Order: sequence, then C-alpha cells, then structure tokens
Amino acid sequence: MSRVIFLFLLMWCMPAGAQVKPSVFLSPGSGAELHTRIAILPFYCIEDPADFTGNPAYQAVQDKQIGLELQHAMYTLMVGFGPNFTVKVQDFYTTNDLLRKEGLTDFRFKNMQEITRLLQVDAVLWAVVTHNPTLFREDDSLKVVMQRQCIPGDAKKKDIFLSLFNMEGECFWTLAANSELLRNLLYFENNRFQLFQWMQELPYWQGDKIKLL
Amino acid sequence: MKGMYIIVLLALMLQAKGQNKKAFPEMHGSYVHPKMELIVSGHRNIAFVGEYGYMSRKVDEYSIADHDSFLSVDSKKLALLFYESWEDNREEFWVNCQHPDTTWARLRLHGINPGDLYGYSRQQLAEILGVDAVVTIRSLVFKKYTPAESTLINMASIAATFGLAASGNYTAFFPFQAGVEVFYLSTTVHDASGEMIYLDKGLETAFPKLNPGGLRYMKNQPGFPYLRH
Repeated sequence: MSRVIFLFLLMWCMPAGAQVKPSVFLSPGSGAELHTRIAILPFYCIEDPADFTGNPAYQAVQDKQIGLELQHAMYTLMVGFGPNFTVKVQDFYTTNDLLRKEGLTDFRFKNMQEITRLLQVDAVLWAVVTHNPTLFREDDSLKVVMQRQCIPGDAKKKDIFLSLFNMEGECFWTLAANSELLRNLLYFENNRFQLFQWMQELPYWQGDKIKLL
Repeated sequence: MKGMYIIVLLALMLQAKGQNKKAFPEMHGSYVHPKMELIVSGHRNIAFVGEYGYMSRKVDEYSIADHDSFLSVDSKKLALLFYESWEDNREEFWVNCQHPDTTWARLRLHGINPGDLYGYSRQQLAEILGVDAVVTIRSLVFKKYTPAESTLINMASIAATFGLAASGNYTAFFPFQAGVEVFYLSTTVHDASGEMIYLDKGLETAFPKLNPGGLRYMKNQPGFPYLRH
C-alpha cells in the first residue's frame, strides 16, 4: 500500500509540462549577446494538408490572419517580459508597415539579410506554423477559453518552428514545439508556466533561467 | 521507513509548489511605458481605430468579399462606439477624441482601408489623422455569428469595457451576453512617434466586463492613460 502511495505521490510531483518541452538549437558564437533590437515577422501559417477540408481561397485569408495574430501575441509576450530581455522589440505595426511598403508578405524564400536591413534591426524572429482544424475549431476553441485548459496535442509532433535570423541572414536559433505551445501562445494565459519556460529559451533572456518544477 | 518516504515526498511537493509560485513573475498581458505619464501629458487629441478579425472554421460559408466587408464595417462600429462612450462620459476623459467619420475620411483620402490597418505604423496613422495618439481596439471572434449578431456582441463587450454597461446605454445588447465566444480583445495606445505606450490584452479583458452590473473596467485598470483617476 505504501508503495502505491509512494508511486502516486512521485507521479504527482513530476513536472506536468515535461513531455512537451520544446527542442532548441542555438548556434555557437551567434553574437546574440550583441543584439539590441529585433523585429517579429508575421508568422507563416498553413493548415496541415492531411487535415485540410476548407475552402482554399478563404483558408489563405484565415492563415494570414492567424499569422498576424501570432505575431501580435509574440510581441505582446516579449513586451510583457521586457525587463527580462536584453533586446528591444520593434513595434509590430512599424514592422508590418515597412514590409507592406516593400510588398513583402511571404518570407519562405526570402534572404533574411535583406529583411534585417530593411527593418534596421539586428535580428528577426519568424515562425512556420502548421495548424490543424482542432486548433481553431469553434467547439474546441470555446472549450479552451471557457475551461482555460489546453487540449493536449501530439507531444512528439512539432507544429511550430520558431527561428531567429541575424544580419547575415543566418539562422542562429530555432525552437520546435508542438501545438500545445502554439495554443498557449495564442490563448496567452492557458498555461503561463509553459509560456514562461518557452520565453526563457530565447537567447535574449537575461539572468539565470528559472527551472519550473 | 515508510513514513520517511512520505515525509520526503511531501517536502518535495511543498518545495515544488513554493518554487513555482515564487519563480513565476506576474504577467497580465499588459504593458505601460515607463514614461507614459510624461508622454501623454502633452496629448490633446486622440483618434480611435478598430481592428476586427474572425477565426472560425465555419466562417468560410461566407464569401471573402463578405469577410472584408465585415472587417471594414465592424471596425468602424468599434470606433463609433468608443467615440460615443467618450461623448457620453466626456468629463471622465481629459483629451479630445476625433470623430470616426473624420478618421475614416482622412484614412480613405490617403488610400487606406480603415478596416485593414495591420500593415500601417501608428506613426503614419497619427500623422495622417493629425492626432497625438492612436488608440487601437482589436477584437477577435472565434465563433460564427451572423454579421448583425457579431456586431452586437462586440458592441456589448466594448461597451462593457468602457463602462457603458452600468450606464444602461447598451442594455439592449446584453441578451447576447451568453455568447461570450468573443474572448479576445486588446487595447493599444501609440503616440505620434509610433511608440507603444499602453497595451492591455487577453481573456481577462473581455470576459468579466460583460457583466452589466460590473464596475467600470478602465477606471479599475491601472494604466489607461486618458481617463481621469
């Protein structure tokens, strides 16, 4: 009996978010410590082709909207954690204004060196996001909002690839995470612990990382 | 021995809970510029713009043209609602608010669709509009409504946000209170240089304020710069 209680308590103590810890890569000698100003680009979003059932024309509009919302959410988070970061984030309206004037909407095949020059920043943050219908389906989103819970996704499947590119256009940092973190980013406060852990993975986090149990 | 296991685990549990609570900084999704009071002290005129988005799997039942039309119309209604709240509660605000008709006319004169302002710096908007600051309200709908329903629901949420619920001006809209799927609402203020000086975002903003008997939201939120405290 005591062994059962012991195992139960041990499991209870284990960190709940451990199974969704994102994969992170940071290039050695990235020079991130010298950066002072970064910009966040609208995320590139696409519905998982395996799940796609919608109207392609409308889906493109909606994917763009989701990308802008995620850009806004990321900006808000970074501004909210402002004192914890060594860099200042360019206002996202200013970023979008500069991009619009150059007619830039799709960054998949762009040289990020040009983008950093255009935006006059030391680095740009960009993400490729694959979302599935459950992410924004009205019933699920309502459930998420009302109950403030995350619907667990496939922990191993990576749905968001967040990258930082420096002034040479090189990708020096990436983070791959599953849809649970994506939900957290969009719904903002569903799981603040995971968001906090995620924010700490950015190379601009200053001070010691706080390990959340 | 068994007792020891349990004591050690209980100690670990308590430590874990305590560490989480201690380590995690407060984050409300809000931002106030460190020098906001100084910055806004010189402001006399502000303009209000709305950004409106739908996210629903079923919204594709509408055509894209309808969707764009919704955005344009609803963003104007957001702006008008704020203007009316300013007009009805003028003594509560210490700045002048540009009428949305003027705002919309000036934006259109410069070839800008007032329903799609994602891609314009607030510096540019402030310059075009001739104001000291631009207040942006963003509203995101995650459930399909008819255009009339969604507009009414948003008007209700914005009305509540700015305290009009208690004044009874928009009581007629509260039958839609049950439709609280409009959950995402943010307010940002940018000064004429394009720098953000205030941001408030998140679920906390939208939900409790749908309570008609609730207190005035903005007055109870530290930070919104243009209300007399």
